[in-house]
Amino acid sequence: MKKTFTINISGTVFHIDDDAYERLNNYIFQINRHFGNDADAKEIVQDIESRISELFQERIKDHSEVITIEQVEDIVKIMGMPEAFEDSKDDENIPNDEYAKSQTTRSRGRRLYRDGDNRVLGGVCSGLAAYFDIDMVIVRVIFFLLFFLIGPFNLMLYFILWIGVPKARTTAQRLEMKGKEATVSNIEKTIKEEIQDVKENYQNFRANKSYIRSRERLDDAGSVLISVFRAILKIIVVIFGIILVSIGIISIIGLFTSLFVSSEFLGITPFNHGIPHYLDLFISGATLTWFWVGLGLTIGIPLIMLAYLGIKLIFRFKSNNPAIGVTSFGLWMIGVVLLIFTAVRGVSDFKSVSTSTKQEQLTTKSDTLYLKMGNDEFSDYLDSNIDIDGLRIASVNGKQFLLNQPRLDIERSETNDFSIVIRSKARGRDLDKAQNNARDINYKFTQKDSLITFQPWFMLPDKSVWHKQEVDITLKVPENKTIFLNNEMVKIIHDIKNTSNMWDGDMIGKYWIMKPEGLELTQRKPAPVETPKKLKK
Amino acid sequence: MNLENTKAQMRKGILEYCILLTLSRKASYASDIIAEMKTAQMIVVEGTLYPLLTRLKNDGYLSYRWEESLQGPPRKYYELTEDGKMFLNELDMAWRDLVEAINQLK
Repeated sequence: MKKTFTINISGTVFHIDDDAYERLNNYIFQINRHFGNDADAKEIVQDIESRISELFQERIKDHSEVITIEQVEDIVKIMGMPEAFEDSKDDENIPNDEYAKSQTTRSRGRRLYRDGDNRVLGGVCSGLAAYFDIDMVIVRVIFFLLFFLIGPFNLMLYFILWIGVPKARTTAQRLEMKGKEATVSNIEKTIKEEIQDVKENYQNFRANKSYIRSRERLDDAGSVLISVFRAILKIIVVIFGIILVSIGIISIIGLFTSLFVSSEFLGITPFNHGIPHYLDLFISGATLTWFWVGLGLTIGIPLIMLAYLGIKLIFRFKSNNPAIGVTSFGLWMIGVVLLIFTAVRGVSDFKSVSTSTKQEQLTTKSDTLYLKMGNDEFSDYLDSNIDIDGLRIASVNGKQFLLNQPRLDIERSETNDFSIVIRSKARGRDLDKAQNNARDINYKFTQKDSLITFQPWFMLPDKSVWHKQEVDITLKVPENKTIFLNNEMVKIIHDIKNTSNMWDGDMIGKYWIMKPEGLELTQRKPAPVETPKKLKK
Repeated sequence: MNLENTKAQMRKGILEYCILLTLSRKASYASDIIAEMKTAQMIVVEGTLYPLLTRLKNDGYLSYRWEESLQGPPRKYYELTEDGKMFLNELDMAWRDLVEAINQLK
């Protein structure tokens, strides 16, 4: 027992088995799809339908007879599959060979493949040439010239395409690779095809037994709507792809130029204050290299994948190569691990702290010391963007130095002499390293009789990195001796205790005498001189 | 070289000519043309004919009229237009040239 339907082909009513119906429906939709959507196509399909109707009538004498699947198969054989009559339409008015070439494949969409037949390396250039329908020599020259523009990204791009783009293996793929020109009419054609695809799928769905009883007219409206959405979606996808590729490639170039070349690309400074430029002052050699690699991978891989996705969307090539996903995820993980590793390593560089103390007796006959600042040799070389808690960077002749200000405190001396204690403090991986780091700090003051000149900065030696170095200067003043703080001293004095509880900023330009209770403000202008210069006499 | 393929190519080249020849004798509808083409072994599958007919009609070489039929719906009868007749004449000449050329080669 079989279910039957009543169908109307070109004005004649037939009874048809459900499997026969399905087959016939399929066939007509294949024809529909083959001829496309325009008025001509409708006419052709109508003519074919009326012929099918006629053939059925010949086979069925009595109108109560039911069309079977064998009869449908028979008719499909007589009429032929659309591929079999493809030939008849491809050579009308051929102006030249190239036109013919593009015509023979006009029902196919163009896809990007690697052209293994014309390859030098992976066939990427020849594939692109086929895709854009230009001479492969031109593509190769462009690729070569690109090397001067974007350097190693060129190679990267090549390898991405090599890995990602499938090689054209079958004849069909080779045809698709050489497809048709990307003209407006072809885009229209592609969209048409897309619509037909949707229609066909929809039709198959409709032909499904669970759906078969539904009304037919409503479906057409629905499927057209779906097709329109599908076409719009497709255009959006391509635009999106172009955006992705642009963003991806520009940011990759931006990332790498900012990391390796300069801190600016197209006016974009990815890291404020250009810290990457100075990173070697903060992170030591080997760790720094790993840091760069880690950073490059963690940021670069997602960008490359972004560009790759974009290329995939634009050229609609299919690649299910799992190696790409796995490899890129692996590389990204390595990047993250490297960053964590360098961070841990960087932190461990600060584990131990050590100090190095130097004490110097000051011999002077005067009982008043004049304290002043030395010339700030670096004021013109300082990077005005960077001031990390007093830490500054000076660039002199292309070399970078880390500078920081020492802090001066004044205490009562146990002896009868002035003395200066310089306490350098630094951190390091272990005590020894910390000790070395502390010792390496270079800080100087000069004494000329009763005039003490402090350098405004302590400097880290060349090629050393930041280890939270600090310099504390303690001036020890014996009782009843006087000091004078020059105005510029405000830069380095730090929380000096005095009996008047004056702020550091107010203590300058004044004489202070050391009493058992501490420093005391004094109006006494001791002989013999007032200004430090006259002392030289 | 595939013999079938070559034969198909040859047929394809003169199929339009054959259709025009058939129609030059009398106006016919698609099934008649198909019957003639099949007897002449010019076509393998019937579907080939329809796109050709539509194209010839669009190019102005054919026109058609609807005629009632005793059995079933009205039928499309194709006939040659003036343009079609001129075109056929040119094809006649081309065919004679071809036959001559082949005979010379033999």
